[in-house]
Amino acid sequence: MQIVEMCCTTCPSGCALHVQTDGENVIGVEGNGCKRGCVFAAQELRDPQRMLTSTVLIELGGKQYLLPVKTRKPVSMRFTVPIMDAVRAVKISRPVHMGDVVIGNAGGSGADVVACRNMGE
Amino acid sequence: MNQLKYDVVVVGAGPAGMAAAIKAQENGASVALLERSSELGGILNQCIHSGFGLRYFKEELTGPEYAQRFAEQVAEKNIDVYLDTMVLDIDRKRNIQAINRDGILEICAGAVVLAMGCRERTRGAVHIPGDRPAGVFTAGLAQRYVNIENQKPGTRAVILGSGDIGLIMARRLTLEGIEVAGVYELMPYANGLYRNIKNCLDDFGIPLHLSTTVTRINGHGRVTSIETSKVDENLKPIPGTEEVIPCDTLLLSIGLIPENELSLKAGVTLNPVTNGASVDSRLQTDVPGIFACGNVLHVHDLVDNVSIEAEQAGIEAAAFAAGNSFTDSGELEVRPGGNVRYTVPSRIEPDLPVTMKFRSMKPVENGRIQIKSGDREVYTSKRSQKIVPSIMQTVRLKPSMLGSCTEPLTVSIVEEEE
Repeated sequence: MQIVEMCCTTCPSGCALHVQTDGENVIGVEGNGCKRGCVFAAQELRDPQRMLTSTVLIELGGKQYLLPVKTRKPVSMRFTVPIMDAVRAVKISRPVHMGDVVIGNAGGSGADVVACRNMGE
Repeated sequence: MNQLKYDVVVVGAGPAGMAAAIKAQENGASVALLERSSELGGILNQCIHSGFGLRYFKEELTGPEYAQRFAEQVAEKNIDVYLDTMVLDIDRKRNIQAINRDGILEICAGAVVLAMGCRERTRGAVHIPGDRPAGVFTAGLAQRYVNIENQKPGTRAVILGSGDIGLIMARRLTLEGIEVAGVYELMPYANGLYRNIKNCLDDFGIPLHLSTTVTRINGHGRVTSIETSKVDENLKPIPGTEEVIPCDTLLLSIGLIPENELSLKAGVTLNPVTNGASVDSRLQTDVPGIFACGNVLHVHDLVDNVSIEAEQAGIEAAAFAAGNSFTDSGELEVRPGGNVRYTVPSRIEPDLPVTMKFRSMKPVENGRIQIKSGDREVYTSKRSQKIVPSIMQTVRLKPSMLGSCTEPLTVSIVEEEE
């Protein structure tokens, strides 16, 4: 059994977690302000997930802009590079709405990359 | 010249201005929202990262999403939005002079809400010696280049200051293929939120050097390297600890200054610690009918708190414009006590509920918040907690707790043994 110290990033409180683990499973969590800390600790040990945000090129009326985008849900950090590659390869040339899918199943992560704002309306 | 008249005029359409305008309109005021940029949202539009809205919307949003939610509400309401409009002057009688494509606007306001936000401290504010080459940016400027203008600020960067924008930019630059050599922080502790240190530095293996600062910038034409030095307990560089880091870019994330030039023109008194207006329980400045909220009042760490604060300013401004006379029983001064850097508000009306906001001077592991009026205890937090300067503390006080207070309030953070 070992103790792993980590900072919960679920919310801005950033609780310092003391996680008891057998190397794979969480046995106990201390220091968490709420139950989301336990969920976070288990995920963080197994396969850390993050929201990934970036921008994609969008051309509207002959002008280029950057459209802010994000993964619709937190994704495994293993997919950070493949998703960024997919985001860089995309160029849009139509108006978009907040929430529109820009890249489906980005980088094979299982998560869609979606627009974070309206543009061109 | 356009002569206009509104119950409430809000200056600035970032998160604070939008929230204030929405609430003022909902409370019956005719509202003008003045914005110098060509769209609503302020700095949120370039903050493309996630982590906004957990308190206000109970879900995690990016900056643009948070902004759009408020912009949509502004559009749905009967609020006159003036974009590309620069306010030049405000006087004590709430006459506002602004300029845009149509010429000069003279606006007579029943009440004014100041929501101009803040700007970044630059190299000049910390006097970094050395050459004066290109390649030295404030973190927020670099953020604008990367996220809005599609410009690459450099190829190898060093970041001075561990404020949230600097941390966020360390990750953003890395994702865009710009190497980040390290983040350097003068203080012995990080200034940003824990989650940003983990998600923006640790995840990408970017080192954070505490008690270390940049003591020289080298390069002619363009930055070629910077020199760092460790600092002692008085924050003075220690000779012999210099290290030269090759880089072509230096980002500065060394603090924000509320943008109060207009407030000063209106005769508003500023708090020398926050550089924002000195306000009362209603967020009213010492000029009647002029209110302040958001980062122009004091620098916040969370936009959710900005929105909540600004809503109150909007409601109070609408009430003032409607002619509600503020008959207060008298004002009590609020003073920062032990380990408290500042408080907002700076003075309160004991017969009104108030949200006391403040920051600690230094981090404490087990701190208890204590608010007193003379010897009388008004509030003590039930349990001790870790308190750090990067997280704003709030305590809600009810009139029943303040009822018979006659002496100034003192807000302190008392450190306890574990």
